[in-house]
Amino acid sequence: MTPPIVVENLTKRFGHFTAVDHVSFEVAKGEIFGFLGPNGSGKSTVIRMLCGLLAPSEGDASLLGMSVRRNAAEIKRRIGYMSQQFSLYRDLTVRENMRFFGRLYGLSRDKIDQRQKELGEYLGLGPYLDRQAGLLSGGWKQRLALASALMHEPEIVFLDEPTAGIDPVARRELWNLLFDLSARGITLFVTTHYMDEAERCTVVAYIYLSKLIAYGEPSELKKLPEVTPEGCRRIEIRAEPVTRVLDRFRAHPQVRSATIFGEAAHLVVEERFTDEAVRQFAHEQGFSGALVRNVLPTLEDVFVAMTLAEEKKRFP
Amino acid sequence: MKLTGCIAILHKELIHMARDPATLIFSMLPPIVQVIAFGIAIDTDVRDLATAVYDQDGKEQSRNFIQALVNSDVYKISEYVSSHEELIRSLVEGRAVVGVEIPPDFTDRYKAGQSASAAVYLDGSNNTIALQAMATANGIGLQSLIEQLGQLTGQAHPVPPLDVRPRVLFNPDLLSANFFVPGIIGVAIQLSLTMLVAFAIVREREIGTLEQLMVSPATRFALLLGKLIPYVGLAYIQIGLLLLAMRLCFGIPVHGSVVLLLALSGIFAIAVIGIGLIISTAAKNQVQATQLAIATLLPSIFLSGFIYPRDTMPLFFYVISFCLPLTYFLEIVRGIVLRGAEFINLISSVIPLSFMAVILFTLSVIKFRKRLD
Repeated sequence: MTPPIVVENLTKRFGHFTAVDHVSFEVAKGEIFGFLGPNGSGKSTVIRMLCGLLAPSEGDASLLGMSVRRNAAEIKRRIGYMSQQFSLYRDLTVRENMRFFGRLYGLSRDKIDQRQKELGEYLGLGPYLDRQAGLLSGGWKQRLALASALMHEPEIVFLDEPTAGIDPVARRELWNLLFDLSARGITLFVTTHYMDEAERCTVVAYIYLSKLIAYGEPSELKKLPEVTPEGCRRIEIRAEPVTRVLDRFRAHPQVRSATIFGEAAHLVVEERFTDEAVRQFAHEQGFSGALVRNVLPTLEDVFVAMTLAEEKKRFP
Repeated sequence: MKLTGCIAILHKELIHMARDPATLIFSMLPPIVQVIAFGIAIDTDVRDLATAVYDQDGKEQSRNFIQALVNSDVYKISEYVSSHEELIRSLVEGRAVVGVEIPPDFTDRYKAGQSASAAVYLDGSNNTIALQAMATANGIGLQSLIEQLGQLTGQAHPVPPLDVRPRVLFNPDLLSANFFVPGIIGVAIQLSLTMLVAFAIVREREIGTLEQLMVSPATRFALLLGKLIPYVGLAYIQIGLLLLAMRLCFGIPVHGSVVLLLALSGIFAIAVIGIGLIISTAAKNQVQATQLAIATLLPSIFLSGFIYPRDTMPLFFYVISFCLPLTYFLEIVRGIVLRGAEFINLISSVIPLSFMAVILFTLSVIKFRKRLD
């Protein structure tokens, strides 16, 4: 069975500007695919091409086995889209919004009744059915947006920064819903700027200056040689004050890079700079009792390392 | 053509309208107020002009002359003054717009069969008023000439050698309300339709729902149709209300076929919806949309012949007036309402109007699609 999303050398040019440059990836059924990248890197252009809003200049993408070049109309019927802003009708009630999207997708009246009931229960929207959407709080607006996007039982759902601007509790609840949807076999394509959300995805891809520079499962990406250069390792040092730790260690010849992570300093050091040597150096610099341990790179480390490597390659 | 989603959008637009009656009322009411206000305020009929009289004669003929002026309904004596300076001051200060000065020998000269001259001073700062006042004064002069000829030849009712008797058809009293009020139908439809259509699209783009609609299987055609039908319906309600206001407030009935008027209004509606859509693709927000709608309305008001006759316009503006849908629609409305014109009589306006409707609407749909890509 072909994966629900297959993207091959997808390219979009606007005049002389290449917004998306030969991007390829696959998303398997029921996966949560995290699509990341700075603003203006080509993220939304990719989504627009996948949703059939924009024709690719080169390459192709197939959704549910259909080409976006030829079957955009049929694809639209089977995918859902939840955009980053709250893009529902504020003056319509929760019920009217849900029913509107059902009708927009050409569902029968019975089907609309059934889906409205199911989703109302599933997402807990029951008590708010007759409230105008504009009067809901941020988290409930997002639930309504999700309900509207799910009315026609899409097999793939695109979520463009679904958690931007909502509170942490609502954010976690929304993610729990996404996990549940993915367990039900719905493929989710999520964009986000939050690294902790990226960690929750099954597969992530990072687009930078129109090109895909990282793609894979988070755990795989963290093991990439570009992330931790050969002969190096990542360590964490806990000592006070952390800014001075950073300054002193950066001056050490066996330290490749250093950055602050919360209350600790994260360092890439050469392997010969052992824990013992690190503690010794810390002691010499006046940080007594410094805690040193090996750490795995975070996804942020991965994206920073990949971005720097890409910059070095493109602008040597 | 698949129409999936068309009904859904139409239904949703109706809910929007019902939830926001203020916008609806504010778009429907002004044209009706306009009809009433314009009909009364834009009145180019000249009557009861404040007239100052400096009568140095005061005898029979001067009184007759003054009476003739008053009888014309154009003049109304506001004051009698006692010097030339006072007469002029009255005009300068704006107490009077006409000054009549009759010399002391007016009656004597008249009776002696000599030419009796009276001076009529007009405030030319309003040319419409001055021109009509002048025409009336000249007419009275001419009338007295005919009468005098009669006395000389001994006839009681002398026959002028050339008897010109103008008869005004269709608007026999030459009321300007009859000219302006039907035209307001055109202006009102253009204003409310361009604005509402532009708003409907721009609002949807502002809140991000347009994108949500585009990822649905509803085709662009179905989407546009669903959005526009309620506004066309609104335009028709507006036309009905305006015709009613016209009838009740000014007693102007529709002389021709109402069905024909409604049918041809549909063509005009398509043209101005096209303008509204083009505005919606150019405007970033609702404020810009309002400004653009007004910017396109102004030339239509001034150059279409709504207020000023097109025939007297400088060539440049005259040419522009040919490119305005309102120009042709005004011909049609006035033709049907005032003259009872039939389709065949209006063909020279219907053809260019239809042509423009097709061009504007096609252009707007192309621009609309491009804007979405």
